[in-house]
Amino acid sequence: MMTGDAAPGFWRTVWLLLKVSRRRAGGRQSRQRQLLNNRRVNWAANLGSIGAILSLLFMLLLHGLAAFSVMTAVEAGQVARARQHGLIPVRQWFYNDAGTARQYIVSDQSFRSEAEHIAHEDGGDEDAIEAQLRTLVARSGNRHLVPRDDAAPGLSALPRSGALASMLGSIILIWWFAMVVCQGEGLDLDLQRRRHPMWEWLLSHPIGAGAVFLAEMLAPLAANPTYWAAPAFPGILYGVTGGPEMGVAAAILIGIPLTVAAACVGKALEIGAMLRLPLRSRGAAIGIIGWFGYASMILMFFVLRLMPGIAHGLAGWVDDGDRSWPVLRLFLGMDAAGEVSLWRGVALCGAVSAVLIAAAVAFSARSVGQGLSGAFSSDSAPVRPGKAMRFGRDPLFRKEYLWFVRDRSALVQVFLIPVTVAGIQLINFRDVMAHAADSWNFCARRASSSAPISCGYWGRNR
Amino acid sequence: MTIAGEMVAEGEVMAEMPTDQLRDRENIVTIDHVSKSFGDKIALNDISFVIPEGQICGLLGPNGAGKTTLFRLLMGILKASSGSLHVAGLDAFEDRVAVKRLIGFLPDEPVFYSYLSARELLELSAGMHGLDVEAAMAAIMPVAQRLRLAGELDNYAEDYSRGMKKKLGLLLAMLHAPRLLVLDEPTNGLDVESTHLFYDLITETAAAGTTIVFSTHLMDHVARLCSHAVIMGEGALIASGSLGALKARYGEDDLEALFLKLTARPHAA
Repeated sequence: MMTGDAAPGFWRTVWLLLKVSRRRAGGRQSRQRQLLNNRRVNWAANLGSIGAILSLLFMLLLHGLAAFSVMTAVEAGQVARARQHGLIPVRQWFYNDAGTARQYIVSDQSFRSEAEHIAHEDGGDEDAIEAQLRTLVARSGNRHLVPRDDAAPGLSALPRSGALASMLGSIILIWWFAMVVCQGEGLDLDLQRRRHPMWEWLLSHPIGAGAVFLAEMLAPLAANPTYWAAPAFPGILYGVTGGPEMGVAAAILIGIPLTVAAACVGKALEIGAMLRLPLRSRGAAIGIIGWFGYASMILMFFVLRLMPGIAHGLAGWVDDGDRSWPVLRLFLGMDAAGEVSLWRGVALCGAVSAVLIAAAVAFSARSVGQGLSGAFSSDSAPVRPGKAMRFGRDPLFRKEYLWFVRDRSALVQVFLIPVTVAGIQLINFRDVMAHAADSWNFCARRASSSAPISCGYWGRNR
Repeated sequence: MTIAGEMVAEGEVMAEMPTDQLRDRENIVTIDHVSKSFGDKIALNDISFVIPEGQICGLLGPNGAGKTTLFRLLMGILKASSGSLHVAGLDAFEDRVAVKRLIGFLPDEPVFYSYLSARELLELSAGMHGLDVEAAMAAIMPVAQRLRLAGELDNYAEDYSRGMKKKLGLLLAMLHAPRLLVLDEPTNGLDVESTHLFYDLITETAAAGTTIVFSTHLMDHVARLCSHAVIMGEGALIASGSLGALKARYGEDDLEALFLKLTARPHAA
């Protein structure tokens, strides 16, 4: 009898499985190189590392965008609050002109330009804003104006910025975390997953389910560049509020634990779906998680532009005294005076990460409480299409139709992904059309007049 | 022990053994009124039987009889809807970590991690059994050579043929020299020579004291190798016991004829 005296402990098992994950990643890479070389692509040997670097750079850009979205959200909330208090945020030069010289010195061009800038930054109708600016400046100079930098001092003034700024910043922070949670091991969506044979094999050894699942949770960290770049997010936010050194420290001390926690929560959701949901709902649940990860990542690119409009729209609905959105302030380790403390942030984010990791492992291990078969319901019997349905007499159409009727993951493939891609393309198309219109107008006016004419946003800035 | 269905009582199972051996032997597997449902589908219905230690037991039944489900219950991969399964006195589900130190399992269709060689898989499995990896590899190497797999150990297991995967699965199941080997259709996909090699190995392993339970559709192999047989049909136990006792009870000398007779009338008394 060769049975070991002691089965490996929790951490030994995790270590063994992680070591194997790394070895598999190496094997995968060398196999890809081998395949490319077989196609006589001579530069294939270097392609893997270049691809990895490009992916990492893209993900760094994405997390950077997310961090700037938080800042934009806070500033948009601050601007909306100023407007609620009857102040119009304007650029410093306009504020100075309006304060010192009254409206007869402020040129028509300046009013127009400032109104366009406000409409672009904060939303609203240009003509209405221009009329409002003219009235206010005529009546009281710059008393009802505020320099934009004073109206939106940014993250450092978060505790004094009212509920809207805290709420918007916190929502983007939570959204970023949810996006990271839903990344999984990559962008490919496996919607057909019915069971996980490797879990069966692993759990045929004398090892605990908790250790197996913790290793599963940590494995995506080695495979997905979204996770490699995620620490940049807290790094940038702390860097902006506390300086570059604090940013680097935050990336390491806060970013890494949070990233690990996000990977664990994401895998726990996947494990929960695999072990708790009925057979034909698993693919759908995992597909929706993957779709959310993808859609929220793409949507992050549009947040910067949409946020002022959102803040403007929400301003009337949020009670300025509401203190129920402290998430961003706590994340930044900020006290009531706006003082950022790295150690306070490290302690809080560390504690949250530890709780999330422990909860994810416990949830996953508990999910095996009914065995690996998962939940079964009446969906093990196929739904029979109604007799009245005449569509799909052709066997090929019928096959697709029956899949659509019976497999809940069809929701993701038929609706969510196409709608997301169409939405992105619509936004892009709208931008292309707007720029084309601006360019056409600019060229047309240039052709009809020799005077310099500002046209379109890029021509409007002074 | 209450034994349900059309089956041979525990005393009868042991009837062919000398009394002193009978007294000393334990039942390494005890299955007591086990049922398992998947939603509305009943996969196993009130199954009870025992397997004495040191025997080779063949699990027979037509497709969909519940053999694989029974093995997965025995491995603690699934939880029984009702009833209990014990391996060497340990509950197969509640004590599943301890039970897996005693069992080696070969699934019907072994699946291996991609981008790991067979050697790396064996090393991983040895590590997860808490074995000295080098000693375990040294011990399993003669078996690998015998199964003509030793020269392929450094290739990716994912790229193996079905038969080679079965052989690797057997090596993995035997790596920790378990007390009980559970083999789900072990010769599926094997060529004739490998099948003989496989069964020679099983016979030798059993002679060394390991209890072996395997499912198969090949009656002649059961007749040649097994001391015991369990016959299932439509999730229910039809008969179980020593081969001699079963043949005597149903008046059939040929196991295949006996099997056809019993499975043709699955719930007959």
